[in-house]
Amino acid sequence: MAPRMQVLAYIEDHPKAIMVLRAARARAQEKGYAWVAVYLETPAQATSADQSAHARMLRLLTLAQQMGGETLHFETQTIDEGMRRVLEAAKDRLCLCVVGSTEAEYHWRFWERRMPSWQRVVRLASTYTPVETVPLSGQPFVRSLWRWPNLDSFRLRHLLYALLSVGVAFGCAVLLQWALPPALFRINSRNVALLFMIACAFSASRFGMIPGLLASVIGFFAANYYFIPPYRSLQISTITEALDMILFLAAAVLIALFTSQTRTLAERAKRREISTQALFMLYRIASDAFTHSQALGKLQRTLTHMLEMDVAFFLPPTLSPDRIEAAFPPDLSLSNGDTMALGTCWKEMKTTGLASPFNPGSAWRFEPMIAPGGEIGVLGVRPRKKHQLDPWYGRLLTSIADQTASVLEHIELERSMEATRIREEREKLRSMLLSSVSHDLKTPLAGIIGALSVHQSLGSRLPPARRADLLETALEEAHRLDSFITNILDMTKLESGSVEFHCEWHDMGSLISQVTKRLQHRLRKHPLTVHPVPAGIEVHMDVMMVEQVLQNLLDNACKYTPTGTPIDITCRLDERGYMVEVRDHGPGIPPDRLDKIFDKYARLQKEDAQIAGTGLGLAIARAVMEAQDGWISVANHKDGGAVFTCCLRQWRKTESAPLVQIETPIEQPIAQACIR
Amino acid sequence: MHTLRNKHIVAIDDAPSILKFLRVSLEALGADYHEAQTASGGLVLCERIMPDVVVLDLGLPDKEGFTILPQLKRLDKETHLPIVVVLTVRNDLKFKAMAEALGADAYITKPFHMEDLVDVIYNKLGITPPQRPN
Repeated sequence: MAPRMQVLAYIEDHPKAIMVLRAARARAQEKGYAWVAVYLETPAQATSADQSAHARMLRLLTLAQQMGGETLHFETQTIDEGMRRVLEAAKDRLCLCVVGSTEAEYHWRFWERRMPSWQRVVRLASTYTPVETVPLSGQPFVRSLWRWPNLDSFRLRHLLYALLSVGVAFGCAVLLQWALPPALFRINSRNVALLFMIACAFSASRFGMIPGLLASVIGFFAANYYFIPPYRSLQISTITEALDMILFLAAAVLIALFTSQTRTLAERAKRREISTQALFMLYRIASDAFTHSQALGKLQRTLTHMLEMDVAFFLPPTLSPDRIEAAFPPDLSLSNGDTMALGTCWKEMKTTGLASPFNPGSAWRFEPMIAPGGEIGVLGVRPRKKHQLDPWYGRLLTSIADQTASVLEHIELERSMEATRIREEREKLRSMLLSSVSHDLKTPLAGIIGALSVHQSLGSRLPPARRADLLETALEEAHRLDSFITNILDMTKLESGSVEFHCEWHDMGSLISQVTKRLQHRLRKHPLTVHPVPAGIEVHMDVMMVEQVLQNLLDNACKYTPTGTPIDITCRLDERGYMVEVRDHGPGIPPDRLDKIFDKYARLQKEDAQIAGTGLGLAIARAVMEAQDGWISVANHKDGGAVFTCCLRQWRKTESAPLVQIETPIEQPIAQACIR
Repeated sequence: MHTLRNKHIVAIDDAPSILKFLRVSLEALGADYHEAQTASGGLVLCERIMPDVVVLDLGLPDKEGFTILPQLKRLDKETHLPIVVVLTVRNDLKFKAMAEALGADAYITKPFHMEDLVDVIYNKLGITPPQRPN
């Protein structure tokens, strides 16, 4: 989609600046373009204590929004630099720039003769786009050298503190009067004035301009009345003293004014710090959080603390994106007016509520959170009592809302990428499992079909021994196929949890002889040694399941070790439980595969080169052992070969001996007797 | 009846059951039969024996059967190159195309009937198959 063409309106602080907005809107409407009001704030303006200029610009920008325009308001070092950035960014869709021309002429700044800022903007913009100037009658607002400090933060109690500080100064002066002889005190009356001056400077810097002025006036009268002869009178006897007092008053008033202005500037610096911190924190949270709720919860707490306002995030419910509801904190209750303002904010994607042109009656202010990918939700703040939501806060909230939206979008994108990756991985694994299973099923089948087909076609010409050989091969492969299919079914059952375990007390020795008898045929190429099992011990287990584990282990030992190598089965007791060890004398297991060998997908990492039917046996063994509160592990023996150890935790002496739990220390003599 | 008399055949497969019935049947048909369970062992065997036919599995324990296929086809046997029959569980056109591109003469998927393999060998060696009693 081609970007929509734009008309740019450059606005400055001028009584008739609205004419520029109207002209821009008219030009935009003629062609069906969008229009943007641009206000560039230089450091001189941003740090100025002149609140009325801020308020005027905010009204102007709000007006631009109401007139259907977009607004662009940012800080820049110089007007030229800021304008160049705006023009560069918009140059592809820019079709006209509207600038208000004033009667302001060249002016001198220090030694340099400068064009008025609007002329500089016209000169700059005309290199990018046609420029239309709108003549504005009257002089622009003049920002005086002196600006009234912010009165919003004025509190009555600050006056009391100012009076108190004057009182302290008074006390010090009384002390001085008491301590010094009258003649000496008279000479020191200037120092008394300085005491009151300190009180005045303290009040001004601590509590602002009005308490400072109050302190200077009260101090003036107190000094005059009590400490300048004639005492207890406002009269002044000498010209020197009159001059002193007049100078004192003048100095005190000036100190009050300038100190309070410095204080205002310091407060602005603090706010700047807050906004920098807030935006930095957003970036940090963006890199830490993995889920929406995690990020929003953290943001809500931190912003509440940092802005000293109630902060809430509102998100649309997953199923009905038209509605919007409180996400953090989830139990927030809003009045009808607040809800209406919130609804308007979400529906029309514009700032609503407190100190905004829409639903200003609400106690909350709502900022839409819009990310490059679309609307995400709404940020709401409710200033606490007496806290003024001024233009600076408005701007900060907009940037916080934007940043939060990008953070959330970023998290969402990461999550969906992760989900896609997992899905792909799972799909890959599934197809690998399928090909592995088909390989494992087909290899024994190939042996059966091949051997039987040879028997069928050539049988009559083969010596009887060869014929028997073929049939035996087919039978062996059929057994192998059976055990593999059983494994697949068992694994499926174990995974779906449909296997019930029937544990009972049983003797391990008889179980082992059962299994070895059944595997006799397969074990004939490997001499098997079953070492004597601990006598008089019963183990709590599901006999069928443990038989299968042993069968799988012996099966593996046969398959993976060279013909003729022995296999050992050893049972012993130790402090962990009843141990059954199956040791082969083959090549052992590569150390890097030791921890993966019980993994169902372990052998998928290899191709179909492996001997068939080996994939699931160990995975089943582990599942079975763990289902009985036991475990299975593998290690390479120091003299070669792999050792599989199965542990069952519950065992007891026969003849209804009490159940021995793993926590119970095993009596030493029994343990020794049991270990071979 | 010894239709494969004087034919040298090498089978390379890691499944003992397959090697078993290949040996029984091919020896019954009079062939000079040899077998190996690994790709590298098979290659050495082929270099020594210079077989007429190689029966090659693809998934071998040490390496892919594909990797030795070109080397097998380069073995010079004065009159002709050895016939290579690929024998695998991979029922996939992609693998079949790959095997053919690397010079395989036939591609048989497991499981298979021994008659089919023998027919392919007859066909590739230009031997007229004996009449089979029905």
